[in-house]
Amino acid sequence: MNIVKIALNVYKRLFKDITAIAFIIVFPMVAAIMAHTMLSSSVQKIGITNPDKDVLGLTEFLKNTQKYEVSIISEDDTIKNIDNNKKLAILTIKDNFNIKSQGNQEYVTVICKAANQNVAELNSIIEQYTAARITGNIISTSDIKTGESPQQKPLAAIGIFSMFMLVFSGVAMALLLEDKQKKTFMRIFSSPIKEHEFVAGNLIAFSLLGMVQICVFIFFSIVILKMDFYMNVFALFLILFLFFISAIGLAISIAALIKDYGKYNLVISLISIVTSFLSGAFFPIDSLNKVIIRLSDFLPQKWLLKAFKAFITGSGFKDALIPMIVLLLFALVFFVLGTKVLKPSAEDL
Amino acid sequence: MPVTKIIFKNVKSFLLNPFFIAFLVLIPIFQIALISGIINSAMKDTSSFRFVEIITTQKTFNNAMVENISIGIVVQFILLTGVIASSALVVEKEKHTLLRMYTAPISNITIISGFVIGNTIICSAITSVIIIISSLTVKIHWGNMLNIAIIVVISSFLSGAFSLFISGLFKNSKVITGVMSVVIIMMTIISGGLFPIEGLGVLPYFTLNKWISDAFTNSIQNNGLSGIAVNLIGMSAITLVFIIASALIYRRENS
Repeated sequence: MNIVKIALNVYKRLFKDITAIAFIIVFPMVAAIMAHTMLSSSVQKIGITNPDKDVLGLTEFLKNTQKYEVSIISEDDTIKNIDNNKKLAILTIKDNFNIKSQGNQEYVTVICKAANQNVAELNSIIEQYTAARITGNIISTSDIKTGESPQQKPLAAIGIFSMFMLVFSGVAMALLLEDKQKKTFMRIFSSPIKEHEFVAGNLIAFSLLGMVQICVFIFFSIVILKMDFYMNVFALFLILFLFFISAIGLAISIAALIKDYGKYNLVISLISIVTSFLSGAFFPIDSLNKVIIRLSDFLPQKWLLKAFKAFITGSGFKDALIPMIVLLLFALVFFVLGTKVLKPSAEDL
Repeated sequence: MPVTKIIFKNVKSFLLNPFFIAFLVLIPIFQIALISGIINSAMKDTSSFRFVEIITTQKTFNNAMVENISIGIVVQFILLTGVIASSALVVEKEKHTLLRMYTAPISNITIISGFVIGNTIICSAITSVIIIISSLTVKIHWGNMLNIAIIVVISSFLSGAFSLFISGLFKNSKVITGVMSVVIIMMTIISGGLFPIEGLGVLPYFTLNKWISDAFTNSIQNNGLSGIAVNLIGMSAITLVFIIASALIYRRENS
């Protein structure tokens, strides 16, 4: 009964300001919308100065990919179009190109403002197409490897949402820090409440809130935004929930180090961003230094993404089992490290 | 001078925690080094083309991307440190010392300015250290240092004012910092600060990050003080609006 009372007290305190509901309900929706909107592929505008010299038919091929809108522009307008961001890049076919050179000669000059992922992708498409044509092969748009997979959108959505979950777990832990700072711990432990009841009450309260957030995120992504996560909804819920539990554990262990809850949230936010990068949520980290890759194995987000990838690549529950167990172990280890925070020390009394 | 005393008090309380300061400096530097490593490794395979000659009008192939993300990281950091100002004010409010301040003959604007300037000093100092270290270690070219210093100070001021404004909207102090963090992370993503994005039209201009990032970008491109003037004026105007709004929210009768 004490557990229920403690859990209800958490809600009472958290929702004394009605705007806190936004934090629980609105932000998961926003995470889904952001991932959906930002990763929707848009058509890029590019220009070509001398299409008459395009003996390999590159212009037509680029149009057929449906990724590019190609228009003819005069050579004098090249820099103006690039610097004003009107075009992603301007192509100029080399004057002296000879198809018999067998790849010893450049075919096209790509002028762009600066490098970004879109320019890199355009160059990669041109490279693959030209290489195939020179060797006499026929290449279709479906043969092009762009490094962009359909699973990239849900992967980024999970990455963004996991960041928000970490921040939320920080907010949850801030309540406990406040208890400690305001000597409420001392009062609670002087009453007939067992230590485990106090811990369980808090954990149940935050776990239920985490479940609500996950449900909102999944419902909004799948039902409203029609996003495909390439996996069973219940499995998705399970891995996100396991991550949330480990995130709470991580937040508890950080709370053991930072005493001031204002600064604590800043620390949690910075950690959530760095760990998202390190886990490969936004950029592939396979080519990074081995030490950094090894370091990322100690992050819950890495294992969340591993479990997610195991499901979306079709390996299923069998391959996702180890990452899921690791997530649970993370939670246990962090809890052990963080129990110090839940035990009143001499200075709290 | 009451405002000086408020500033001094805030800076002093911040300096009491050296581990926290070290953390604030090291995390963004680590993030910049990490992203530089990721981009350079990813681009290594794609930068050597046989059939394509690449000409960039502004930067060498990889540098622009690393610099853009580094700017995004620094801007996000500046905005997040605004939490220090808001949490300081929240603590004063919760301990009812803010109410006591109001009994003294000090105007709202003076109190708010004290917190914001205190945050500006802390944030500017840490950001400067991050910029200098990233310039020396990761070889990020930040452009004219005087321009950068001006941008850092004005953006830190903006960060503090924004933070106070947001914190005034919520009663629950634990939720404030969480909401602020999420809002700032969202703005960073929309402005392209965490990873490159396109196709959002004018939406990034509704984020604080975009205004500050553009100032940094213009400075990096050696556009001079006149090149960043529009950004600085925009940032200053937004700061003023937040300061006035905060002064209205933190009125005596609301405390």
